[in-house]
Amino acid sequence: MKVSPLKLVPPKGKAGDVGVADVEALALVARGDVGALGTLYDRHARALLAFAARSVGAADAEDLVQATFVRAARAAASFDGRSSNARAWLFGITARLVQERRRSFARLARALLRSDVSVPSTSSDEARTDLQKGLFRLSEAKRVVLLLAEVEGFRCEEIATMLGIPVGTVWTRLHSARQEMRAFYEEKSR
Amino acid sequence: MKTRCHRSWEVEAVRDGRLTGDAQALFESHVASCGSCAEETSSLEHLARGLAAIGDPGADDVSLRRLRNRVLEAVDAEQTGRSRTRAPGRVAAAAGVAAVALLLLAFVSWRSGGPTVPTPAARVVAATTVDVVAEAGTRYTRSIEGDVERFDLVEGTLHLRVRRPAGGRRVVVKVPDGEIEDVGTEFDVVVTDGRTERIEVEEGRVLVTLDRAQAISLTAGQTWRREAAVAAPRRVADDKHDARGAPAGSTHAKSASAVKTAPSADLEDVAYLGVLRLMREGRDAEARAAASAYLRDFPSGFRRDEMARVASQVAVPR
Repeated sequence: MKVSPLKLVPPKGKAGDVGVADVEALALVARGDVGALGTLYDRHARALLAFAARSVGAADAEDLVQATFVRAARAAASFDGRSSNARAWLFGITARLVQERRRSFARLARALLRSDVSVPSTSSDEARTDLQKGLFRLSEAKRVVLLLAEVEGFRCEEIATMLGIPVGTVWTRLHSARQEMRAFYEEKSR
Repeated sequence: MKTRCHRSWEVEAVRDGRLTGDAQALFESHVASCGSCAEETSSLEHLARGLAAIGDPGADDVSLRRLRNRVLEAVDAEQTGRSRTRAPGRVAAAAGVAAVALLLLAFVSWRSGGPTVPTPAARVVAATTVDVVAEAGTRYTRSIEGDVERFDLVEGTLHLRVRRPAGGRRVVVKVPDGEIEDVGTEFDVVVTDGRTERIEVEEGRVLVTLDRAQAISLTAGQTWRREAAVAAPRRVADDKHDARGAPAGSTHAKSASAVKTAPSADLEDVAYLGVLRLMREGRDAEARAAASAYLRDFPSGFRRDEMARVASQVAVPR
């Protein structure tokens, strides 16, 4: 049996300490360190969960956040800290998942329509406030852009990078989303 | 009918970063004197505030922690699965190389007429890094045996932070009354007078086998304490982690003496699901007893109302 000498190391920051940067944590995740993913989770999960709930409804929000971190762990090696920060990168993953989820739901809906089966709604409309109803009338693409800009405070250029679309498309979607929300309110107030 | 200012489009342009510098400053001075643009600005801010106020479920800490465990377990399982699924390819390649080597050895052996003894292939073990902090007066040794990095803790407090990649060396802490196997985590272990007093897991998961009891799993946020185990012995046989996580072939895992873990959301789930299972199986008396145990162990559990109904024999829908 090989006995190595006792080695003491100075105490290091616990997971969740501000001392371990997001970039460093993502580098550790890329090397298979699940604990470092926990650090990122502790910092960003609450905000991601709120964003997911606004985007797809509370019922599916947790699944979406789980999928976000699973995908983040897979893609951590591709994270480039020079062009993005971890928060924007994680929100970008969630935003893309929202749109992918919409596409797969649309495929299911088309298949059900072909087979004459009633199409389920994505979530219950009754429990929502007027503002939520207006928000959920928007297309997924417009809703995500509106939330990222107006609630999460990302700049349009950041949103464009997150979603892999031109910044002009972000401006167009934002303008259109605001117009639709305004029209919804005017319709409600009549 | 109100007329709209021809510059009202600039409200959005400023908000979206399309107007900057002097153009932005000029427009802002315009807004100060234009009712239409001021109203447009206020309307967009009102929309933003309204959006920020909706849809946020205000996730409580318990839900967040539970989701955290789900996330880390999913990623852990995926990484473990990936290393397993890659293995057949490596095994097949290694088998091919070994077959060729054996053929060559056979050929050389046949030519030379002498016996050959194949050398076992060296096993490559991925690097596991362990940061160790020992409190003053702590006595321990550290050693490596094959694919296990072993700490023998005699007395004192060790704080370990383990980064274990898929296929990495296992880390086991031997304590006088058992062992703790790390599953990639950060935790403290305290030994006093030859007995483990406390194990506190800060990250990940550890498997604990003490006093020849059944292996239990402790996850992030959970603490095991000696005094709690002695004061209220209870077997945690149904912990979902046990079946999956108990070390293979461990004799301790087959023993069923008493070990108690601090109540946690994870254990609460297990207790609750146990009651439901008993009810589904029609074992009402056992379900009532299990529901009473739930109320005793988790007095603040958020299924306590339902469990109180079960415990007091009020019918609940199956």
